[in-house]
Amino acid sequence: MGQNPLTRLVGKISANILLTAGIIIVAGCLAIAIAAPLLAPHDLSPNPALRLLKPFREASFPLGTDAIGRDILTRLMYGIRTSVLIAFSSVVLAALIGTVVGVLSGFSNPGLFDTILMRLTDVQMGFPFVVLAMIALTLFNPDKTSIAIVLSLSLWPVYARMVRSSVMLQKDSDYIAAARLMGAGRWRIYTRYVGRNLLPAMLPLFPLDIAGMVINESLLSYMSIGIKPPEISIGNIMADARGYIASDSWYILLPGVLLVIMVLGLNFIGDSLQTLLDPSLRQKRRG
Amino acid sequence: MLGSVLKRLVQGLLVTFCVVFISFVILRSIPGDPAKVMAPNATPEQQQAIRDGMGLSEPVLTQFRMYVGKMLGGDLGESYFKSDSVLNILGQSIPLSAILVVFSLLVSVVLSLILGTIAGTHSGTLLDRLISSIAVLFQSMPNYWVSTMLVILFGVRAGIFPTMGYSGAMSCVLPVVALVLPLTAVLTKVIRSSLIESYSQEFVRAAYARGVSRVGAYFRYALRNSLIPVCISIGSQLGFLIGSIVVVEYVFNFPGLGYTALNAILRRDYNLVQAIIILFSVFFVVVNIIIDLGTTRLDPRLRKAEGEI
Repeated sequence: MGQNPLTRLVGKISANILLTAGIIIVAGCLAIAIAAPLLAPHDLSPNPALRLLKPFREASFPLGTDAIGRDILTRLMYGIRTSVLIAFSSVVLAALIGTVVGVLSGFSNPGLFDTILMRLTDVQMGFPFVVLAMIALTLFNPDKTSIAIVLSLSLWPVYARMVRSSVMLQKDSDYIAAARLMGAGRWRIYTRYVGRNLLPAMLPLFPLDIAGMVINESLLSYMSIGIKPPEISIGNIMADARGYIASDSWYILLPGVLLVIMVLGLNFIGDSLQTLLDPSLRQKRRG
Repeated sequence: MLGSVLKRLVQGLLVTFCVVFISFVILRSIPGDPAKVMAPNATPEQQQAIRDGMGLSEPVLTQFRMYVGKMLGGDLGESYFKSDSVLNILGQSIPLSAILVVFSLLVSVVLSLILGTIAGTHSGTLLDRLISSIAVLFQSMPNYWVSTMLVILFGVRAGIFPTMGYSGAMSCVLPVVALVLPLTAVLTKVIRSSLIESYSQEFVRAAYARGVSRVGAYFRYALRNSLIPVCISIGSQLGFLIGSIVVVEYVFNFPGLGYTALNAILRRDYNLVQAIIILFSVFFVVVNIIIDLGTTRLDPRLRKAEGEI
């Protein structure tokens, strides 16, 4: 009692081991993503003398080297950079599109506009993601931008539906009516009332969806329809390693473990946020 | 009841039609020309003849009308590359993928019912934490990586199972394992949390008060109520499962539907891709209707609401 809200929040977060672990992992990945060119111990030029050096043998190449002698640690750092960038921007894009569509749809329900928008999400969800991505990426040249767009294509209907149902629940509620009576404009109602109630539901989805997109991006690159060399992604490092699973299986193990740690960190944050922000779950925990 | 099924069917048909139309237009506008892929050394005139022969020189809408007309007559066209009808190719690859889907679903549901029940009825104990943590771990592992690890462990190292292509029932084991692990993880979590939720409900306590045994209360009330979210999540996981199948088949070179789809797209085999997309969307629509009906059957409250409408 008597503490300021910030200290209380920090106390609450650190009491939650999984959330703390998640934040540490994600913060580490973010730092690597931002500062990859500064942190990377080597450059990316090949060195035929150091072909497939095993990890933990030499101090200057802690994670070994790949088939043409490039430092794997350096490559993984740049891979994280690509992953974080693409996953983050695709989730933001999907949430933006989804929110706009959801709000428009929710406020025009029932009506033709709402029906059309919802059938559109049906069509979108009727496509299995991998098939959609395969078609789209043969249609466009796969680079970071087009991959982020393709990834967000698979995600926006989820947000649109969530926002729509929340808007529909809220729009006839007393507090919206009260706000309208007090003279609040449409924009103010969207941002201040509807939006504020959306956030607790959306916030835990961000880390969970970013985790999903990290996996999906690496998957596309692994199937060689995503990021193509010389650009680096964790997925195409693994695609490269796939050629050596018989002789050097450690090579494909490393990027995979890194990916799992990243995804676990994001999932920890998402799951903990869900329990922290959902009052009904909180009650049950105490009870 | 019948009315709502009909309504869903009509809506589903509309959605499928839209998917077919959109994908038809998109496929025709993909850069890359089947005539050039089929006959890279032919003269421009010869390539034009190939295009005319396949009807690719007509406007897209005319092509679409012809396609739908043939489709309604049960003709999905010829594959451009395998010199076989699309129906035959699908006939060979669908059963293989169906084996994967059916077995991975069965195994996952059984495993997750057992694990989810153990975790849900012992919530908060060490056993529950162990099961839940392993579930989170397997959920976080990308499917293709797990598949590759299985190839290394059981194929390359131990040589127990075949890892490439299809050569009998043993070839299905590793792909099914790769599909089962994440699916079981998700379903176990759902069953666990919905069981915990059910046990806190009044109808379970009321059943205990009436003297219903623990086992009876579990099967007749708690489990039954928990099956609703499980049904819903199986529905949403099926879409995910179809995606995973493409991936797993790619890693194992397993000649099912996903592998066929990937190759068809890469070779611009329009007719084959189109047929696979239709198949996927019909499957998705049907699954959704079944799930909706299933949840209505399971939940007395929904059943009543349905009757009133």
